Amino acid sequence: MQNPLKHSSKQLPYQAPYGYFESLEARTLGKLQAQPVPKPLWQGYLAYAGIALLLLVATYAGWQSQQTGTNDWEQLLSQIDHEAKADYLLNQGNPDAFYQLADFEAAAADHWLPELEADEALQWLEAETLETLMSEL
Amino acid sequence: MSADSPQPKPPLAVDREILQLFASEQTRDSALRLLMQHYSKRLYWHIRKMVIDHDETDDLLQETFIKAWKGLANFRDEAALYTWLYRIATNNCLTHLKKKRERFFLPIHDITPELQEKLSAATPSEAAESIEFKLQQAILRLPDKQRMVFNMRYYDEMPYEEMSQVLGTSVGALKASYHHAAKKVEDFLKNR
Repeated sequence: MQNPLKHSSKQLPYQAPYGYFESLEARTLGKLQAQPVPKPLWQGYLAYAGIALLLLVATYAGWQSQQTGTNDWEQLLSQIDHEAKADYLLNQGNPDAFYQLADFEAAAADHWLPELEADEALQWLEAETLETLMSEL
Repeated sequence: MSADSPQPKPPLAVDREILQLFASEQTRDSALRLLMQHYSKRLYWHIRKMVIDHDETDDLLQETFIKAWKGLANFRDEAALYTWLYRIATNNCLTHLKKKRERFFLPIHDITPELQEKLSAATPSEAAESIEFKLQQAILRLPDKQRMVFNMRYYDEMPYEEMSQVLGTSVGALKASYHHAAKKVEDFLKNR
């Protein structure tokens, strides 16, 4: 076979549709005019400022919600009866204390420091309770 | 079965005229018309050789002119306008082909068979045995960038220095790329 690189006419085996180039100009102009007009620069800055404000509000809301979560915990902790806690810790079996601690444990898993394991939360609660008991003695 | 003959290289005077027309709000549309009159055929064939399909070429060509139009205000005339347009068209083509390969987050999809099918569909049956058709079949097997280099050098006879400006690659690398591409094309046709 002849070497096509040397013997090809350098023409392509296909063509452009008849009349294509004549209609191209009008279609491109039409497409260009149909495009949205670029917004002035200040509008762009305004959009950026809006996004930044939204992010700020979202961050604050998240932080506040975290704070609320912590406060909930403190409230829950205060609701746990000290005597029940003492019973549980000293007698290792008071059912009321057990349920209160179980509630605490379940809520801990849901809201409070999610990365903290439930048994770690329990340990923390025990430490808190001991501290409270010690202060009351 | 011949393609439209490429337009002669436009003189820089035309580029200057386009830029002057563009500078005034009243004559901007005339600048776009002149731009398209002078460059549409060259750019059409540049794109068509890469994507083969006419409709895709049409979309990419219009996109090229629209991008050029939007960026013309920032055009620095140390480069020829047509080199800049070639660069926009080239980038459009390469991005388009890349997207086709990477669609739907699936593993890289080989589009060579699709291009081969489009080539067969676009070629009239009487040209199916022509040397030009077989050459195109061989060229479609090259990687995109190598194919681009091959087309620009072989079909458009673009000097390496200009290709270097368009593709942002050194002249030495382009020469090596063309040499490899030509070798692959020859080997493919010999082994058929």
